Amino acid sequence: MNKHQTPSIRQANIMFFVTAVVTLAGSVFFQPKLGIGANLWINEFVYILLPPLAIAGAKKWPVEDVYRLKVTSIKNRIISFLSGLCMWFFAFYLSTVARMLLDGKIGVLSASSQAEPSVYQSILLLIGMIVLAPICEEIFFRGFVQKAYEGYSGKYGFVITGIIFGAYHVLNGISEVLPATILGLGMGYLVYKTGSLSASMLFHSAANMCAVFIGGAIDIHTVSGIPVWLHIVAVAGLSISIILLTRTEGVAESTAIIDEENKADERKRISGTGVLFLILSALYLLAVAVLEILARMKII
Amino acid sequence: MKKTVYAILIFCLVIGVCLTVLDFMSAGKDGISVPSDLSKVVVELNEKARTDELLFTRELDVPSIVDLYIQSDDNSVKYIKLVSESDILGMSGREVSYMVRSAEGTSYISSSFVILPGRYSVYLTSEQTDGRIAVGYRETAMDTSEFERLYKIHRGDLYNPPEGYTEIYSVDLAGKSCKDEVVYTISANGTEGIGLSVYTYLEKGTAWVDLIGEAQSYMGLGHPDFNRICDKLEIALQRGEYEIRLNCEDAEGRVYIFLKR
Repeated sequence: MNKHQTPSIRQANIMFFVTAVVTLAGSVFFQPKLGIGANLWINEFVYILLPPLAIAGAKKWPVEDVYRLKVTSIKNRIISFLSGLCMWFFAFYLSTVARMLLDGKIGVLSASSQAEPSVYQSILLLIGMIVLAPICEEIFFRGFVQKAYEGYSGKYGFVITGIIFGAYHVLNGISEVLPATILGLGMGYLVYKTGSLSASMLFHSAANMCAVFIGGAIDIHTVSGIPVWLHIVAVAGLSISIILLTRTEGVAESTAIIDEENKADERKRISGTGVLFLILSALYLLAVAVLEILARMKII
Repeated sequence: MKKTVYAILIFCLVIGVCLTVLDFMSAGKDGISVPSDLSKVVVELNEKARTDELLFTRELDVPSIVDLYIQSDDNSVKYIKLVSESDILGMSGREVSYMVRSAEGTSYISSSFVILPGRYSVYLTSEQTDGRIAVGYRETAMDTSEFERLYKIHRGDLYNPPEGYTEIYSVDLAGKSCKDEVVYTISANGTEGIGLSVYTYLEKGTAWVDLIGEAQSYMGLGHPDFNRICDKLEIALQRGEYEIRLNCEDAEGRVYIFLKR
């Protein structure tokens, strides 16, 4: 593949910044009008999926190759799905601990007075989380952003993307940053190892499935209330997930070769604009986190 | 795989548009949906501005539980006021007012009162604006023995717990002032359903009782003016510690708390 037929870090960082800004602004505007389910669909289709597809269309990139829309082996698909299921329990544990720490040390967020979603909104939310988000977010983060960062460093591209993916989830609350980062690392590793976005889509879908069906049923309220089973399940989930991930059949050698090829001009790839938008993104997401803290402290 | 992904996305898009349209249509149709077993009065707010305009008056022959259910598809501030000519159990006054903004679909404001025989009326204050407000109401004659028990509490004879409830705290306030004083702690080892009854009788000052969980559970159990009788409140507690806290200021009167586990 021609090196010019891959996203650059500059493009990835600009796109990430724009996506993060419009996701929040769009949600503030559309969610009260259209409902939580329809708003999720707009987020996924318009702000997350459209930019990488539009840029691929404009640059005439072969989407299957650039974004790695390729099928992987059945073994890898099974491993990805099971790994997603197991990893979710660890992510849920981290999210619960973080939420409790924030509630206890800083303050509790005021409950939203929003009415319960209608049946149609609930169906939109369900399909959005289990089908749409895994496809759209994987094309954006693993297909587009990770591909760009792999041009800088094949080995660590998925790590950087995992952190970016986690940071993006500050829009869902500070307590979601670390769990999303962990899940992002898992999904990024799968794509790095298998060279296929189908693996990370299955992982993502399995984790979201757990969030919908298991997360909704578990309600842990108090600081002293983390049950022993959750500690055990979290550690077991992480361990099993890591073991499964190490069992994936890889095509990492090819990625590594590309990485070596790209290393020669890697400095050129990180332009000033790219760095600027990465800093802007960090400041923006930090501001969102600060707003949540101020809201928890009842200052705003 | 590209074709499969695109096919799923197009399928999702079609489904999503259909569901969103259906959601809009059902929201438009059921924006205000007072339950069918309640009588209702629906007011078009665009006709005129209103100040304490009488919506309806009802006459109660026997002590009754009156359920009020309010919905509106307009976000402007409106006030619904219930005024009774006879006592409302658990309240120091005979008037209660609600500020109403948008509350439609699954969202609504509801309240229940035990009102003694006599006439009660409901009034509306609103500006001239597009939209509607609906007030649903239902009157159910109250069981005589249950009414007598609550009426005794209303008159100040607080030691009248419901069956199965035991006293966990009582105090003669007598000029007492306290802030968030923990009077009882409930430890729930798992999800547990409990019943709480909190009765307050005040001759002067203020006093109220709260139930507070460690992290985020909070529930006011009594208000000095509007909720002096909190009777048989059933709550599902999650695992953890919960504190019943008393607040009072220059109060003369008594507080009784009963628990059923």
